[in-house]
Amino acid sequence: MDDPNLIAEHFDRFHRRLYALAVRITNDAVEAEDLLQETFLRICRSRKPLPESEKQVEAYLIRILVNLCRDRFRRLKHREQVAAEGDQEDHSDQGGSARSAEAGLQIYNLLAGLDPRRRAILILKEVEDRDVAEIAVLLGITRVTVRWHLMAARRYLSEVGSSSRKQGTRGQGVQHE
Amino acid sequence: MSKNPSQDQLRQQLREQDPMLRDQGPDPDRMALIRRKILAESRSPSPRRISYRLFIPLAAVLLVSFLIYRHQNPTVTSLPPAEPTVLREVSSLDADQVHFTTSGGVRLIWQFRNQKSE
Repeated sequence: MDDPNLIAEHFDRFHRRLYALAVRITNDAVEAEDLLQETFLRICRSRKPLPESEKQVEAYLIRILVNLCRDRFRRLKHREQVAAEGDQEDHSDQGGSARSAEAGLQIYNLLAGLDPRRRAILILKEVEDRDVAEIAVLLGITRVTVRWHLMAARRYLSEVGSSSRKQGTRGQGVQHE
Repeated sequence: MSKNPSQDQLRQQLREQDPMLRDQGPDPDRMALIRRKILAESRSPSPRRISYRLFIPLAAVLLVSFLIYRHQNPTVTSLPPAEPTVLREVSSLDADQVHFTTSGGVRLIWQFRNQKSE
């Protein structure tokens, strides 16, 4: 286990950056705070010593954060699947789909459909302006993988964005009739 | 959102709608609480986990004991089957044999006649 003061120092240095990334990935401030706390608790409980350099520590923390986001995403997806199976008999999701189409116009709501790692890559590239090589180092993956995730994320946003626009237009048409 | 947002448009949208623009940043009270929690967690002794490495010497001791046992008792499993004991000689006069075939092979039933009762 590492020196508690060292961990506290890392917390002071990185918590804002990690919080910002968590907010952008989850689009939820409360969840971002929970993820931040869980990230640091993980390194407290870990038996592995923290890396030496600041850059490596940042990469290590980001990887933990993204993995925690992925765990939550999987759990949430599973819960939604179970709920959807329960609601199939109701056929009462018409209002819900209209709401989601409306919400879908917000790009950060559209991002929710992406795997958190892909979301993180897109955010690190487009919002935090980090280059592909840096993202590859931060997430411990190759540059080719980063480019592939970026391409897939852009394609997804383009497809989902256009389909939610169509849904929104169709919904309006029905209302006017 | 445009139908096929170009990379620049996408970047622009992501930056314009960035949730951090309307977020006040992490709540200082909550951050102080988390910091205290982290410090407490890192100071508390980590729970001892039972490592699989602890079982390696135990397994080695068990293996060596078994090998020694096998070495000292080499005939335990390699003894030839004992000679069958003949309890009674059966002549063809005082017994009948019934043969019948089953899926497991040919079966024999011996029917002994009690000569005294006859």
